[in-house]
Amino acid sequence: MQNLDDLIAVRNLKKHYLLTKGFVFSKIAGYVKAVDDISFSISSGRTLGLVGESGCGKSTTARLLLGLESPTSGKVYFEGKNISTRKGPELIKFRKNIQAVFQDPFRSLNPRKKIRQIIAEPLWVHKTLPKKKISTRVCALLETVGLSASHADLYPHEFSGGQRQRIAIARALALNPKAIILDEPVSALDVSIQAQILNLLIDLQNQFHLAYLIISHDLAVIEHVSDHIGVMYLGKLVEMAPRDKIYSNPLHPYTRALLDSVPVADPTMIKDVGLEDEVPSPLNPPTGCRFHPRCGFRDNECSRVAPELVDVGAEHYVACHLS
Amino acid sequence: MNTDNQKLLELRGLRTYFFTRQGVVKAVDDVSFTVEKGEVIGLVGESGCGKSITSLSILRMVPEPAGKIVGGKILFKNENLLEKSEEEMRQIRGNRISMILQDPMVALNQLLKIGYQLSEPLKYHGKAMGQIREKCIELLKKVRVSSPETRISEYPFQFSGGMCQRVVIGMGVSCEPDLLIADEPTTALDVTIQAQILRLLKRVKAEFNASIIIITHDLALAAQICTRVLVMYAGKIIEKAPVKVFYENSAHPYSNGLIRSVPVVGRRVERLYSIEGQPPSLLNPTAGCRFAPRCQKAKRICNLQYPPEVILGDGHKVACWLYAEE
Amino acid sequence: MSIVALYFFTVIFGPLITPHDPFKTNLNKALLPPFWQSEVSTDHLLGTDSMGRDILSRLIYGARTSMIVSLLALCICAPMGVLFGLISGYFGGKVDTIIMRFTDLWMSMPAIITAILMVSLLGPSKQTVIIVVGITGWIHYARIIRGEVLSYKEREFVQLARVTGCSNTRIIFSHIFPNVVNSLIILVTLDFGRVIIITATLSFLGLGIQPPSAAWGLMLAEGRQYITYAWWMSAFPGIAILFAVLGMNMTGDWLRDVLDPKQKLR
Repeated sequence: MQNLDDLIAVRNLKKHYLLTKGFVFSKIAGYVKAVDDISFSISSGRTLGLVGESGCGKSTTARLLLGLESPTSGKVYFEGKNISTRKGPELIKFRKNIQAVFQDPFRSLNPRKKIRQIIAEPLWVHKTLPKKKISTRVCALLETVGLSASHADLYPHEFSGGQRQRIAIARALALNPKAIILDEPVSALDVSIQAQILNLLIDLQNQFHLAYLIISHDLAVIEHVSDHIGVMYLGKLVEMAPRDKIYSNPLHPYTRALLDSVPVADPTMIKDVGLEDEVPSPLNPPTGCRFHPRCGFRDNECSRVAPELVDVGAEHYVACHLS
Repeated sequence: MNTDNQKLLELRGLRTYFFTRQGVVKAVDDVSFTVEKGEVIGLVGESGCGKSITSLSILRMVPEPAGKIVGGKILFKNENLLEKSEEEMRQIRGNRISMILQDPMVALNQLLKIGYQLSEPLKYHGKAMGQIREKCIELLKKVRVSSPETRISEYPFQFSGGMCQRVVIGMGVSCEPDLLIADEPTTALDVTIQAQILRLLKRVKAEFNASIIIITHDLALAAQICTRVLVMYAGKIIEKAPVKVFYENSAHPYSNGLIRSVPVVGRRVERLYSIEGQPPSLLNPTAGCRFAPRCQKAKRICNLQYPPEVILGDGHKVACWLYAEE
Repeated sequence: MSIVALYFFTVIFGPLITPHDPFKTNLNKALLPPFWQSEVSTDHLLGTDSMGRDILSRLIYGARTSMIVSLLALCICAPMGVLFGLISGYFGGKVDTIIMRFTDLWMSMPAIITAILMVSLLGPSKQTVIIVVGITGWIHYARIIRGEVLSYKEREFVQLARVTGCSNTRIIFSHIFPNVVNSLIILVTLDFGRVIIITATLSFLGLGIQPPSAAWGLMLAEGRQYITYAWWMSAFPGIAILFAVLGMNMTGDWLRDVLDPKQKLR
């Protein structure tokens, strides 16, 4: 795949959760392979979109990159340095490079703090600015995200969802990070506000040359903002390609099924096909290719051998025996 | 075609207000529309626009004492529901008009078996005495739940979200209602499951010959299933149109902006159109058009007087000064 | 509310409004009934006790005693409980298990028995009561605060604070603690009632505040042997305890409604 010189490079990342049974003498009941051997890279100023249904491991991937969880195995490189093993002050220092914006703007701002304190906190913690300049910086950040400096002394509950998401973005920008992880940044917002926030995110990326990892279940949102797109299914990356390839030439049957399922805001394009059953439990994932029980093209090999993610040319990777 | 026996439900000037400490919130303010037999109506709007309150008003389930229906008529089969007693309403709810809620995990009682919950409306409304179990299994089959004979004695936590929503829909149609109100029926579900539920709703509609009101913020969903779309903004219906007309030729600047601001798979644009500003508070709304402060085409009169409803074509009505004479 | 206001008023201005010296004995005036039953004098509004001391004055002083004891006891148990609750909830894992199993153990012993045991070790006095009530009470705080912390720990703003690089101490005290303060205030008011009752019980059993101090529980105990012909000796302290506890509980409920941020939005 791409080389390690990219801003963020993830190699064979795995996160398995241990499930135990019993109260006093607990036994291992199994593993949930939330993220199972995935690799990808993101370069500066570019956006990778991860798409998939709930339980596919996309949010766990985000948490691993943010250092909120430590991986079972695998490595995360940032500017060529392995960061997945860092701890303590080193980790804290590194954290200013990657910031995050989460889904629910009602829960991601501390309800007891003023906007000024919320945005300034990263600056206080990392002491990157002399105290006198913090206030100016907060006002500048507010204006960057389309709010006004007069908002600084209000509390989060005085804002609407879209405005709060702007505040969350301002906070993420405070330390001049090189990358921002966006976990479902617009799915809790209203339609007319979604477009505002998506446009803002694109503007900020151009302005600050940020790398984005955007996670969403909404294929239309992902298509709009991403340069590369990875499709995840039960902890695995099943397909990864430049944006237009995914939409014009999806190779994995799951990607096709997903695209078939998305309703289109056009009554002349009624969709009446799609998968009929549900995602199996991640506790006992199917053998071989994890998608095979739902796949219309499966053969014997699919249930026995798990396909590798292979390059089919022009940065298009797919994990399927058929292609 | 607009004869009276075609009309199933008619709302005339419905007003539902909430009386709070800060003042009166006009959640539903003079809303009128009709639902004909076999129609699928999409009531589209953003959160807080009053679409859910409209549906609760139809069932007379507005949360009291804060909320109150203060005016208008709700004619269901030419009978005004607002004049019915609570007992008569109970006979209508779940029986003639039923409702499907957004989050299936919350809509089902986690402590009762699926079969019991399915049979409740049947028992209550005196349908299918004696062969309730068979009837429930049949219902589960109709909503495509696999192996219904065993699943009937399972609990909701053993079901996935999509399966729960199927059961909820099964409960909704168990008494073969004339009208089904679905409040954001797919919002809490994954994309592939959403598509399944959408297909199921279409099938249910065909099979039970029910009219459906779908309340949603998702324009794509509405496009896929509805025959007519009503757009609500800040407690008012601003545009009513047949589905094709709506998506091709929406007249109100808000509907128009909404359609253009949704990214569509396979039709990427460099920059999304975005409606600037925030939806207004329903507390003390302006006298004029409520969208006027965000509208790029606003004229002087827009801020002063609420626009009249203008008929633009067959079934296409809009409340906007761009099309009305001052 | 007005009960609580009255309570605090008597506590603060007690010495100024007492009609008589609560400690002055006068055997000539012993066991006088309250004013509406008395033909002799209306000097002692609520009558006198077996030693001829004015009951109203003693009640007022008793309020002071109960208040001071309760406040000091709360000063011990609330911070202790909050600290353990925060640690237990935030760090989870082994620390959490140890603290929670310990609270389970502690809760399985009736508080009053623990208290009696400790008094017998330390000897009865005001200080003992404070310590005893203090360390038997922290369990509730720890458990409830832990629950609150658990729900806030998963909130996105706490996660974001970690992403930013905040230290654990900073997250606990600057992000989580301000959010549990509401619950804490309510807990303390509600607990006040409990503490008043335990203090009174201990005094009643003779294990708490010792005579001749004025304390409600003690007065109740002193009146016990005269109950058949001098009901007022034990009735008034009983009523005082009832209203103080009731008042505190109602204040707690009121605070819960007022401090709920969702209520404010409505």
